[in-house]
Amino acid sequence: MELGDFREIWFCDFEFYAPTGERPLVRCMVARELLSKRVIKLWADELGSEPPFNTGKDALFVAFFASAELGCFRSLGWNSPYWVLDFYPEIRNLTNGKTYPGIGRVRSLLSTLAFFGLRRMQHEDKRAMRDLVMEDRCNSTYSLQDRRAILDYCQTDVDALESLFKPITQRIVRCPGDLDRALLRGRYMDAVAEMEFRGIPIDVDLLKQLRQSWDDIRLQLIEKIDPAFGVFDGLKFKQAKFIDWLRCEKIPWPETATGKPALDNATFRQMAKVYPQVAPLHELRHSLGQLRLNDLSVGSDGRNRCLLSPFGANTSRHTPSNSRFIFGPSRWIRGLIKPEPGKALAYIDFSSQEIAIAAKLSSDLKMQRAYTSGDPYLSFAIQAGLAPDGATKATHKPTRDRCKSAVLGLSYGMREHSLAQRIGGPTIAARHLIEAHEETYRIFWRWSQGVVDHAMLHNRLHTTFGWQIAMNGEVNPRSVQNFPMQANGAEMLRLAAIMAMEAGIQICAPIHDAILIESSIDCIDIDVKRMQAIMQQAGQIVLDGFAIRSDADKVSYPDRYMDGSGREMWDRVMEVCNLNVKSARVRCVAIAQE
Amino acid sequence: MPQKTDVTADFNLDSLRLKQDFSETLGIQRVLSHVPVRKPNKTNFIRVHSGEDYRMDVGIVEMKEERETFLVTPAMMSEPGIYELVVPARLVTYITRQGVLALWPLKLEKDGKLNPWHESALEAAQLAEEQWVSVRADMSLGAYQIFLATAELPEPEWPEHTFSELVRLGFKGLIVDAPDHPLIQQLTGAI
Repeated sequence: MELGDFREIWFCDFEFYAPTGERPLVRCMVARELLSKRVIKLWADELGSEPPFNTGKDALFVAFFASAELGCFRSLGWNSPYWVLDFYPEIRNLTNGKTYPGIGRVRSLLSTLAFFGLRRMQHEDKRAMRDLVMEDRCNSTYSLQDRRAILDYCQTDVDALESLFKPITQRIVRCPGDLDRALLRGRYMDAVAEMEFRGIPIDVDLLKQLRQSWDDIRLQLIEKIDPAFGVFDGLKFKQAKFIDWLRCEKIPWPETATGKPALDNATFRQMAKVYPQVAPLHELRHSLGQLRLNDLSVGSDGRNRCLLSPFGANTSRHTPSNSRFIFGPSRWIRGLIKPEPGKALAYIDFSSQEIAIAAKLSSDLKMQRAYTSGDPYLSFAIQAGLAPDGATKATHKPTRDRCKSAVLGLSYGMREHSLAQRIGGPTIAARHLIEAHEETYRIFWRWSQGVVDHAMLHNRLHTTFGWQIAMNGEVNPRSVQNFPMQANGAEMLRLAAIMAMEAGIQICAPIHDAILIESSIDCIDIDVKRMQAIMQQAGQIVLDGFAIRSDADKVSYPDRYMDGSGREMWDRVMEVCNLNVKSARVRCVAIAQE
Repeated sequence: MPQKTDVTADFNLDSLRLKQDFSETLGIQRVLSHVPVRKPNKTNFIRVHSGEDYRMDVGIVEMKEERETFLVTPAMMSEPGIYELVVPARLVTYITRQGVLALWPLKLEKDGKLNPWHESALEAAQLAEEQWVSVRADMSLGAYQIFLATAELPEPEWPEHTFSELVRLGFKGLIVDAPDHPLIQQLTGAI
């Protein structure tokens, strides 16, 4: 694919009003064609049932953060353009890992213009116009003058797109295939629009009850959970009391540089895995401190919709708002996800995606065999001589658990001290596990070191489909080593989402290495199978034929979705609310891929 | 509603895939710059290279205070000052489980004497040609204890360096090959 293949190149921007959780209400649209210079400026009531410009196979649609524009397409009942070039992922990809003086990280249209030294609208002017667009009112109530002002404002963004076209395409289209890879990212933005438009069904009645009594719930949760810990004073967490509790329980808690117990979320999460008695306190602290139920973004149709923030992370994974997205860190809250009558949901995730990617990309056949066995942790134990041939999950559970911690931890660059904490054993045992892993998977480790060397030598790393990161300033070798697994995992998920959308599967949301889909109760089993087949195909495309499995959790109306690790907290919350919605009524059916 | 597209038909995805063989395309090579000359540490498990071209019987002088081992060429062995101190040794190549390559000077019989320490060290080195061993001094025994690894461990990966390269790196500046070598000068009181 080359730019010259397109007969028309359309730059397009919409202005729209989208209150929390709602689909966009289009105010206006401006489009401009590169070659003919033709400009189309239309207020909402002038927009018909199909796009007023060519969106077919011979035309290129160019936008900045195209999921917003393509959400407007959906609101208007229009077909999406065939080819989408989105400058947002492209500038992210060009500048990923870098910050620039006076700009910082390049993520917005304004900072992109600044990056290329192009003239741009002042932030203040832009904000004033945004405020006018975002007023809660009908399109018909805008005066002619306001309409003209909004259309002119919209055109400034379209003009900006046109001015960016040459500098961006010159930078991104350098080798054969570059444009195709950019168009693939553009097509993913269509899948993002599809997911944002559909949203996730929420039990709004229950959410309303929880919101109304949240302050009481918080106090009652403390009353319920804290007696086992004795670390709260009212709503306040007391560090001194926590230290006493740790002493009493003989838990060696990680400390900060100043010698105080580390109280961050990551430490609590990790320690809760090693010492299960910490888990209720972890969930409680998180719920009290970070969960703001009012921020959960739910529309009037009872669906959770928020910006999914594609390509937000350096690895290109999504970074949606923790408080707006139902799949934020508080896992118990996911119990609010409930299919509508007659409907079902399925959460389908790649099985041990990072191990599969590491095994294939490094060409470590031993690691590939471990993945293919279906239990890479036990296989590692056997391959490393830590468990005998014929060992099973039942006969060697503690060994398998330790090996699982090592396999997962090492993929994130975990070293002996952290691993010792994770396995709840001495450092020497952790070191032994690490050495066993390094020895068993020598080819992988050589490749992994090669990843770091390549990054440090060339100041850049890339994925199979061209997502790249630049090394800038202090480089964390652990993040670099983990980049291929995370970023290629993101490629895989994007491809699966596109293919699912094109196959007519109703995709609701991406969640790290999983996709939530929706279907009728009658069709959910078929759609799960189709989705699993698609995910396998996406895996094979990214990993050059290597078969990657997936697991599915299915839930049908009237049951609700529930994350296993949030179940206990859910029950506690329901208990203090005197609500009879126990997790016993929550039924997730796990389906493994055949 | 998207118009009918098919990502697998619209893109030749196989041809778009970029290589991830970072360890092969890199163009860097590890340089061996230091080869320790010492008895294996008691915590290490080691293997000794069984090749005849990776060992050599030599004369060495150990300067305990400086913790330096000098290699003495045959022509210099009868030099004043050296003659009294030089001991025959078998220099063998070994590698630790952590991949550290080193040289081990194993003392040989001198004047018909071979004490239990030297004897047990030679025995350990011989075993280490076939198995992973750890060598630990036992003062009450008056010899080295040899520990065999019972686990099934993989064979060592020997780097592609010749023995003479290893000797050159191991004895950088420590090869006594001329009468004006600083060691001879020092031992004869010339400096």
